[in-house]
Amino acid sequence: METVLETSELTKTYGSFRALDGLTMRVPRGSVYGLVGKNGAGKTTLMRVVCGLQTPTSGGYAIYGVDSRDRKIGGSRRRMGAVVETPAIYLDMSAQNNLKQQYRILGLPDFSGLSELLELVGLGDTGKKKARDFSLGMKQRLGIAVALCGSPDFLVLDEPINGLDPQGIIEIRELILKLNRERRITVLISSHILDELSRLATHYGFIDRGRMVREMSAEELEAAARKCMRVTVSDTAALAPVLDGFGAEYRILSESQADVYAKLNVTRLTVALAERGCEVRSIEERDESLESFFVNLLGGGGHA
Amino acid sequence: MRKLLRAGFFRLLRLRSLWLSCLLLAGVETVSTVSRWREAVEYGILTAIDGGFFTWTGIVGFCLAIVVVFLIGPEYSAGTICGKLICGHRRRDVYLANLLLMCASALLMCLSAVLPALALGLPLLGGFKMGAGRALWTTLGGLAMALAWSGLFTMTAMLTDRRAVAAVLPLVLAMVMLVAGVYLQARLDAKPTVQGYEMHIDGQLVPSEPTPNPSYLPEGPARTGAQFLFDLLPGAQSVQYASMEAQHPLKLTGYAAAVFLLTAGTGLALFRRKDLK
Repeated sequence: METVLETSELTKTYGSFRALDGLTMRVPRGSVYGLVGKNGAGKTTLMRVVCGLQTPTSGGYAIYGVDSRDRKIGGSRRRMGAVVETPAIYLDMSAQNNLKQQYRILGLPDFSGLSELLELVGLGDTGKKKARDFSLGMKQRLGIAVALCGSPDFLVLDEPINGLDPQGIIEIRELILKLNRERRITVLISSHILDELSRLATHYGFIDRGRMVREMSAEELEAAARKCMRVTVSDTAALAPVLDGFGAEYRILSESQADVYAKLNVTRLTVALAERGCEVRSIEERDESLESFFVNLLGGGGHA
Repeated sequence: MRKLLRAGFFRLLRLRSLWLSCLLLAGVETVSTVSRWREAVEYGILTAIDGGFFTWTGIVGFCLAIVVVFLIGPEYSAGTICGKLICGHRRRDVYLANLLLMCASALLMCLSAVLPALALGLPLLGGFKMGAGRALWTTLGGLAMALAWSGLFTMTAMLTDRRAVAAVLPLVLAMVMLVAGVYLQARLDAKPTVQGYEMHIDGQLVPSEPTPNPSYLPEGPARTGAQFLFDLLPGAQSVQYASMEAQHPLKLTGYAAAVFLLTAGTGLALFRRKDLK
């Protein structure tokens, strides 16, 4: 599988703090690579380094096979676009003038494709309205449009749906999917909203304290995600010893709910609970979400 | 870099602060020339173009500080400086393109001041008392000083990624340098002694024994250092040109070139190693 981005033992330190600590990862071509990690895990630092905004302390990375220390890296960068933290837009310019300015910066010979780009991100009707008067979602979409100037085939998006309203989140999600499916653009995306990320990503990288804890495809995640039974009973204090008796792995969620990670005979369980005077109210089968996989993998001590 | 310059000039030429600065400089020179001509006509005073011709040198630093705040300042907060690097431009090119834009602003401002002053001054007030050659060197010295300001402001703006700091630092720097220039001028111009006066019983004022002037800088390292700073700092050069005290415009031009090269080299070296956010 061709790799768009590959990092090798990438390390970035700020004083004594190691923001990236020997991080190694591979972003396959055509994928939507979701970067998952707690606050301070190193996601944004990784994106800054990959985008050339910061120099790695040690280790390296390659974009389209060109090493970051190679003079030809500029050519590879011209094939990528990025929105890291804030969209790179001039607030005193309209959407169209922002794109024209980016065309000039890229040295494109004319402004062809500019209207299509604005239509693609849903800003075709903004006219002369200045970017400073745009909503957060519109600014974010304009940032993506600027990043798409020059038809890159690798897009880096850092928290693109942060602070957006539900409608804005849907619009950005659909835009990213459209870019990936219709234009075959590889996307590296980080997000705190794991549920949203799980709707987009074809590959995941779980990062913690600057290290890559695990990389996997969406299919592998699905296979690895444990299935469980969500049991609702009158008293989980009575449920726990019964489950211990069955030798089942479980997690008590509340006084009345528990997740059981085992295939149990429901009749035997119900009878055993009835003997302890515990009533079974419902049992449902559940798949483990990206969120619970993340919590199990990295622990729940911080925010994703 | 050609692409960056093209994009940069597109922004620069639409920058209101640049045109307002040019307008201000042209206005100051026009008012200065016309008022001196009116005085000459009304009171029959013999005058020359020299008197107010270099007024612009005193305010061009402030004007450039305002332009840098609006031209380069927003590049960090808007993320556009990062955008240029992400799409493959080299840091050296990004820095030099901004430096050239600031130099172009300086040149434009100088022309905005000098051209109306010449166009009005020559027919109304006549030629230069100091001689055309010296006037030319002094004007070129003023331009070199404006370029030194540009190098200094570009360096501070390109190395400051905090929005609030970027918005005020060039203005504060311009102010501090001008105040330093005025202070150095006062110290260097101070006489060794101060002449005091005493009043006699009959009400007459008579000169007393001269007393040593505490502001006077005696010959020595302190005076040499002060003179060096007075010649080197763009703010102090502004004071010299504006007050027509620039005795050696060629030497000042050399110092201005040194400041320009030093700030450009230092700024470029630091910017190449800077972690951008």
